[in-house]
Amino acid sequence: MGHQHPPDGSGLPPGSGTPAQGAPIYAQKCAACHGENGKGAANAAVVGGAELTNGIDTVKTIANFWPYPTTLFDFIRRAMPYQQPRTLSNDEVYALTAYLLALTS
Amino acid sequence: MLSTLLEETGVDPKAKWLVAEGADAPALSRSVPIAKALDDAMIALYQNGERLMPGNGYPMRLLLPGWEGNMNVKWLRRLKLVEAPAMSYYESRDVRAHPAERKGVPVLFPAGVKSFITHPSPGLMLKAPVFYEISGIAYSGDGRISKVMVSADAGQSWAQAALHEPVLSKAFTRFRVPWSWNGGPAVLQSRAWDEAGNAQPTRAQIIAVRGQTAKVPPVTAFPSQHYNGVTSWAISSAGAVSHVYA
Repeated sequence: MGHQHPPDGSGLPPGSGTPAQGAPIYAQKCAACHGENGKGAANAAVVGGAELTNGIDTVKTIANFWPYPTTLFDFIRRAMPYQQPRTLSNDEVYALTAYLLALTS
Repeated sequence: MLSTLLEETGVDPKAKWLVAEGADAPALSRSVPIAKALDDAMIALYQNGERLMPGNGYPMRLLLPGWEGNMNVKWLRRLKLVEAPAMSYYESRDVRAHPAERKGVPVLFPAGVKSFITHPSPGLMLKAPVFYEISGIAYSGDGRISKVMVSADAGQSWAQAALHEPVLSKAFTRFRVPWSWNGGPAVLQSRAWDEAGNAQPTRAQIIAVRGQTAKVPPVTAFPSQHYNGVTSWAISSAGAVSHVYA
């Protein structure tokens, strides 16, 4: 199923963004809940995360459980920021996605 | 039936999945294989003879019989036929199987056979050592419930419960069994089987596959979703009912 037909990005809106562009957006609109540099605060961390084979208590993060960049892009675009979903521009979503993937790698 | 709507619209032969999106604040979505959409999927407008209540997804929600309830997208506002699943956030993070039990199936859809006791249950008090009726609910995503066994001694001995008719496929099935409480500590459990031969797993079987949390996790962590194992209610000699691991 999912692994045999990974999302290929079809249907994504036009736009672009870089990690450097995403950092200030993250600091302004995301860090209050997700912590500085994504390390977690009032809500779940978005970076880090050990191999899930380490046990059921391991926190699921972008690195260890989110399968595709499109998953990240789609969720930010439709659901974030938590108090104001769908207020980010497509370029801002691309930049945030790039920023979080850069933190993750 | 959703199949009726799809007959009206026509289905592109390339479409293998359907993405259902809700009108909730984060516009959450789920990916559904086209075979399920054409089989027994419904768009539900009514429940129990009245329009859906707002909390249940008014004006309409997706209903996929036998599949885990999180797939029944509430406040349904869009169905999009696509070639591949969206792998959206929640179906990626919470609906995917734990690595230890994926077995080539990255996403869990059908609900495993499950039962739990609703009476007595936490919040209720047994006031005296007299006769009680133990009653609960069983269901399976794989057909009808065939048998439910109930224990009052944490699984050392079992009695077969009566099933309330009609017993329908993929539907809640009420079970009941008489029990005389002797006033001492007891641990109530139920375990169900379905017509496909699936047995509800014991808690020990679940732990053997997935491991066990070291402490109660934060509610957003969802470390043990899809738990369909045996659930235990402890009765104290004072008659209080509480959830325990047994």
